[in-house]
Amino acid sequence: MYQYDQFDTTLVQERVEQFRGQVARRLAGDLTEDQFRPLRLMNGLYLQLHAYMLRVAVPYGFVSSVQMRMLAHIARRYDKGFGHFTTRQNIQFNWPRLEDTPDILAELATVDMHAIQTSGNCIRNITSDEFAGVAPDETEDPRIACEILRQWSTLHPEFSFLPRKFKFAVSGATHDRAALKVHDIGLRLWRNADGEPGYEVMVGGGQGRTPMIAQTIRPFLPEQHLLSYVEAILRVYNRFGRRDNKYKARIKILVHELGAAAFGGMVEEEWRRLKVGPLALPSAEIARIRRFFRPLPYEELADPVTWFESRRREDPAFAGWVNTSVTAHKWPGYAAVVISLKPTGGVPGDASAEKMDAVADLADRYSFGEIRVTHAQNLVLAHVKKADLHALWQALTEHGLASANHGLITDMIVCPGLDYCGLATARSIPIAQRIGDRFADLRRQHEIGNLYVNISGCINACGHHHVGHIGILGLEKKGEESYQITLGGRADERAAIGQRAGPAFSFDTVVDAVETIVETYLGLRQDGERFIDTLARTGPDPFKEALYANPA
Amino acid sequence: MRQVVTANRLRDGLTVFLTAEMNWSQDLGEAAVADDDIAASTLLRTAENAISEGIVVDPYAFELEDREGHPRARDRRERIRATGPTVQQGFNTRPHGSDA
Repeated sequence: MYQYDQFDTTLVQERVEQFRGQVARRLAGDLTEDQFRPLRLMNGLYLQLHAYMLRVAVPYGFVSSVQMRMLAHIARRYDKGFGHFTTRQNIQFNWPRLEDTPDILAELATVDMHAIQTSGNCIRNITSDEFAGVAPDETEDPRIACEILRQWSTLHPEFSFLPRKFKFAVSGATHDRAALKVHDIGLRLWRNADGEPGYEVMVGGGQGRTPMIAQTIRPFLPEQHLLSYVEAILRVYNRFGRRDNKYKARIKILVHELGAAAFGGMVEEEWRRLKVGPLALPSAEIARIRRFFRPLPYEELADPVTWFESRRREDPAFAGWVNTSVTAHKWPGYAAVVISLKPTGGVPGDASAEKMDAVADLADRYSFGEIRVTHAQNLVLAHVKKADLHALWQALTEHGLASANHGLITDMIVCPGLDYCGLATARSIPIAQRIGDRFADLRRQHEIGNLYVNISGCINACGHHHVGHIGILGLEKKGEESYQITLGGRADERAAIGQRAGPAFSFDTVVDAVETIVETYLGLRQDGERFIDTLARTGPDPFKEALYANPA
Repeated sequence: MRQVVTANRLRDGLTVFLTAEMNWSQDLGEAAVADDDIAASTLLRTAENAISEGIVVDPYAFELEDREGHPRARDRRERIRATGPTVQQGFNTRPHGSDA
C-alpha cells in the first residue's frame, strides 16, 4: 500500500486543525450555517435525515488492518457501533455529532485517513478494481495510476469548484470490475502492439437522472501523459460545463451536447499546450509510486493445494462458499476472497465495529494486513493461501461474515434510501431485506446463478440501479412509495443502461415482481446461461409479458 | 392543516420538534401543534431565533394527519425522521457512543 510521506501527513493534520477552528466558530455562533455548510462538506460532513453523516475516504478502496481497527473504534466511540461501506469504496458513519467531528478527524489522521473531497464539486475518491495487482486477467496494475491521480487531484486549486462532482475509475484488467463506463472518466490500462503501457480514455459516463455510457475519446494514451491529458479534460469541462443548471452540469451532458468527437478535439487542442511541461510524468516518479505496490512476499507454493481440494470435496458448505467467494490469484497457491457484507436480513454494506475488528485480525493473520472495499459494498482479502482458506472460512463463519452469496441475487448494491438519506424519495434497504428473505435459500440462489439486483431510493441512482441486471428505482407517487423496474443494465466492459420494464410496483408487490422475473428467466434459460445472457437472447418481451399480462 | 415545526439540532444533528414551551424535543408527541398557517408562521419565527442562537439548523413546518385518533406526520419522510430508520438491526440500535 501507499505510505504517507511528510507532505501528506502535514496536509491532513493541518486540515484537521482548520476544521477544528471552523467547528468551534460555528458552535460559538461566529459562523452561520450558510457560511459553515461548504466548510463541513469539504470535510465530508453532511446533514442527513436524522443526523450528521461523515464520509471517510478510502483511496481506491485500500485499507490496512490498522486503519480498519480505527474505523471500528470510530464506530464504537463516536457512532452507534457500525459503519456503511459505499459504492465509491468509502465508508460513512451515520450518527456522528458535529462537536465530535474534529476529534474523529484527528483520530483518523493518526492512521493516514481523512474525509477530504468526499463531498462537493471536486474530484472524488478514485475507484478501481478490487482485485488490482492480483487478478490473472490484469495486464497492468491500476493502483499506480490511482495513486498518481490521488496526489494530483488532492486540493488541486483549479479543480476545487467544478460545475459538479467528478468521478474517476481505473482498471488494468480485461474484465471491467470497476464500472469504468459509468464514470466521468474511465481509464483502462493496456499495452499496445509495441508492449508500451497506456490508457484507453473514456469520458462522459454516469448514472443519476440522465444515465449515459462513457465514450472513448482516445484509444491509447502513453502512460507518461496521464496527468497532462486528464488535466486537459478537466480544463475543457471546467470552462464549458454548465453552471446554470445543476442537473445539466455533469461532464456527460457536455460530452453529449458537443458530441464525443468534438469534445475530444477540444481536449486534444488543450492537451497540446500542456503535454510538454511540468505535468509530464518522469519515469522515475512512476517507478517511485510503483514501489509502493510491489508484489508482496508471497511464498513459493505448489498448486493445486491438496488440503484445500480435499476440504472442498468433503465439505459442501465450504465448497459453496468457495464457489462464490474465492477467486483466482496471479500467484500459485494463493487466492483472493470476497467477504460478503450482504447477510440475510442485514443492511447491504453495513459492518459492525466487531465485524470490522474481526476482518482486521483475519487480514493480519491471512492476507498481509491488507483489506479492500469493493464498489459493490463488500470487502476483499486479496492474498490468502489456499491452504488457509478452510480456516479463514471457519473464522468468518463465527463472525457472521461467511455469506456465500457474492455475485448472486442477494449480493445487491443498495443506497441508504429514505431510511437515512435526505434526498431519497423511497426506502431501498427494506426492499433489499425482503428480496434477501425471499431468496434466503442458498441452493436456490446458486441455482439462479449470477444476477445483479441494484436498488436506488431516488433518481440520483446512488444504488446503481441503471446498471443492475435488474434495477429497482424507488420513487414517491401520491404519497406512496413506488418502484420502477429496469432490465438489462450492466456495469462491465459491455456496459448498458437498463430499460424500464413498464409501470411501477408498490412497496408490497415489487419483491413478487422480482421473483416473477427470476422464474421467467429460469423457464427460458438454456444451458449455463446467466440471467443477463438469457435476457440478451430473448429480449425483454417475455419478462414484460410475465410481469404485466395478468394484473392481479 | 395542522402543522408542527421541526429542525436538526446543531450540536449533534438529531431531529427535534419545537414545543409549546419554545424548547426543542426529540419527541414528536411534545411538539406544539399549529392549527393553521398563521400559527405555523409564528412558530417558525420562534425557530428563526433558535437558528441565530445556534440551537438548530434548517427549521421548517410539516403537516400532520390523524391516524386512528393519533396525530402523525402526513408524509412518510417526516414519519421516518420522527421515529428513526425503519430497518433497525441488533447492532445499530445501541445508544450513541455507548463504549465511550
